[in-house]
Amino acid sequence: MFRVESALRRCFLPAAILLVSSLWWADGLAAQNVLSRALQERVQENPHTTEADVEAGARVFRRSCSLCHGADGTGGDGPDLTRGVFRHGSSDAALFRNILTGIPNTGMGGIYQPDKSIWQVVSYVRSLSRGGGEEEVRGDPRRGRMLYRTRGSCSDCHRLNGSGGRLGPDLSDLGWRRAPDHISASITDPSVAMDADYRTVEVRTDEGNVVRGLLRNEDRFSIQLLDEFENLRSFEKTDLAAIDKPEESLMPPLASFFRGRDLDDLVAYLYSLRPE
Amino acid sequence: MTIKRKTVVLAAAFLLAAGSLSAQGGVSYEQLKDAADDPGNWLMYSGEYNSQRFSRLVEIDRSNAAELQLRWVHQMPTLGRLETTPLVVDEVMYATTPDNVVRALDARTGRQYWSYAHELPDHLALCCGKQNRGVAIRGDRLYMGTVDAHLVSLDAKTGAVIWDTEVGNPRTGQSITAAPMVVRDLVITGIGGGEYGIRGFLDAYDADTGELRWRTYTIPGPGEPGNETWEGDSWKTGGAPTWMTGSYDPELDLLYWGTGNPGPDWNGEVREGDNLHSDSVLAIRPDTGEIVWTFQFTPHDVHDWDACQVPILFDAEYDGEQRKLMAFANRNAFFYLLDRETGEFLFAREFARQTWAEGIDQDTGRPIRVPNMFPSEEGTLVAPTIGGAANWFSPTYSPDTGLFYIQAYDAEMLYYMAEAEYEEGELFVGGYGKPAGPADQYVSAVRGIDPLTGDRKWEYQVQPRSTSGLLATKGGLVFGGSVAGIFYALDAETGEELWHRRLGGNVFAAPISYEAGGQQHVTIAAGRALFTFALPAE
Repeated sequence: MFRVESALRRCFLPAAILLVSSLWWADGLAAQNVLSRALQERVQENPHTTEADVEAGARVFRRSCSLCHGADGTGGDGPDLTRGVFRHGSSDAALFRNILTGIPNTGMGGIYQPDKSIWQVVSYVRSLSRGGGEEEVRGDPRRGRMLYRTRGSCSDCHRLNGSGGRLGPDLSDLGWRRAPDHISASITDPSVAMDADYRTVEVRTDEGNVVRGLLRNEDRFSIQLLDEFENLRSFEKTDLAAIDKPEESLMPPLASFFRGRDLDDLVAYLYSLRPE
Repeated sequence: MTIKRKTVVLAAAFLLAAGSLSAQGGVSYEQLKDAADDPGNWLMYSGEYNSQRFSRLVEIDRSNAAELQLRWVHQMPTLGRLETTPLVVDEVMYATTPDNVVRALDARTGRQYWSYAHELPDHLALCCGKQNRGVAIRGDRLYMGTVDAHLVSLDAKTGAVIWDTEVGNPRTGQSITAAPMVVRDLVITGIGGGEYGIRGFLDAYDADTGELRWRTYTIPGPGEPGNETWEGDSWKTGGAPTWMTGSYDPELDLLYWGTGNPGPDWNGEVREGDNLHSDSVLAIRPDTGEIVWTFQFTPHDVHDWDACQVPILFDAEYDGEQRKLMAFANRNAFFYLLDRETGEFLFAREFARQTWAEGIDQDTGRPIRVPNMFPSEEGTLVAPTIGGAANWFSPTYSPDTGLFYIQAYDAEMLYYMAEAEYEEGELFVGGYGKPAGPADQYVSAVRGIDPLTGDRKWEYQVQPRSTSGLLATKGGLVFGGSVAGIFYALDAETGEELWHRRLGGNVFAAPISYEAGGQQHVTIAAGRALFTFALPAE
């Protein structure tokens, strides 16, 4: 059996490769318009990262990207790029690819510039989320860490370096993305600056069961969510009596739990969280 | 038999053969003009010159639409979004990708005959990514506009290039995304680039040689009437592109073409005045390019509301008189009815939510603006959005129901103004927009509208939203899609949904219908593939 298989492989594999590659070439005539040399040669790291590159990237950004992402990258019809969160890939290579070719099934088309300009845009986009900076904070991060784990039960819903819940944003590099004021406001009143990925939805089935969670997707006929127990759920709308999308975050406001020194300490801890 | 006689006989035989060849392989102007008599084929972008997108095939109807089955899928070689309207001629389908690949397919099976790829430079100034919406056909030649602003003629049997003409300069932001239109021996194409301060034009090329026959600018030059509607030299960078396919009335011998936004889009301070002929529809004589009449929907637009919709031509009794009419559901949220012989404005009525105008003046057709709705530094909330209440995706009209069908969107947006300085090949927009809320907060719906009154007869809501074109059929159906990847068939009388399928990729294109193997088919592009449906074979 093994022998037959390997014999088959000997015969068919080269033929298959030939066939695939010749077919690829037919498509490749189109692909050459889409895939740049950098992709073909698999450049993984950004070779253009100087301050001058960032400035050059900013110019290309204003020319080719600002229509949807806003002149300062804070978003428009397209998402805010200043948060350091890139849903379709965060590596240099992923950013390069997405800027060059666009992202299927989104409004994002590619831009048509030489590879160097695209790398410069990657540098500029990265500079937007270098964020957090090194602001002075009052609190004690070590005590904040203790509060995070105990009184806050924060890890029930938030993830830190691979452990914790999934109902809130991953906080592993929060200090890199967010200023202390923003972190503080998000604790005391989480609904104010809610991320579009964390919209709350509540559905009631015909049997009267209520399921709350994060809205994942919706069309005319069905709705998908991550429920409060972190189950991925999908409902046909014909089976639902009601769908509610409250403007409130799933996270309760914690102003009464954390104030004064406690709040300062928790903010100091969260602000200290940076990528490794 | 004398030699002379032999020659005559041979010549006659040759002529006969040539005649039958052209009948098999070529599409004549007469066929294009009479496309209504040839419902098995889909011969041009909007189906017929009147752009009704009305298929006269009747096999698929209200009674059996629920039985539609997937017949074939064809994956197209692209990373972009398909906006193509395929053509079908004698069971051969011609479809395009955003990066200007053309494929000829067997319309029965989706199997490929040939594929052509236009080579594109790696530097293009495009506001909104690469797009292509289809080809035109004449004889056995195809015509495609390209995103690097070429017009290419291909052999329909092989995909070989016959000629390749530069229409514009891509480095200045000029591009072509729309399907061209063939009228007699002319190939008519518009130009895109309204976000780059181009000066829009419409061109006609010799279908045989690719030579330019005429160019008509949409913005009048110095000394021409209308130039005074631009402050200073702002006309030179005023936009008004012609980036969508128009319509044609063979009896009146008039082309109708919509024009896009004035540039810069959101900063009107550098171009005070009405900015003619941006956001307008132009009636043009195809042999000369002469502008016969114009109508401007949004004078001095500051919201990017291109009149890029496809004008639908139909005849009906209006106000006690049989009239040649044009229905135009504009991006600015008003539905307009015009007399297409004279350009006379008949009425306008809201077909989607809007907050920018008290209404349209019944005498002049001009909007009565609500004050303080211009973009500002702090953001001004206005409905409709930049994308508009409608956009390029085609509406449809059914002569059977007498209804006009449109994908309408009721959303609003924050409009910001910024400085704008023209630099060749750079975005020249003077601002931007931000959504005021999540897309599903607003209604996106197919609406059936009485084009003689503007009355809304029904609506079919599509969540979260739809930006697909529509197709009406003599079987009493309206087909459409959604960004959620759903393809549906509605009852054209009531809007009731009769059938739907999930295709798993955004639908941005418009459906077509054709006949192959004696059966009616419906094709739609979704995601990166073409999907074709038919009733179960007997």
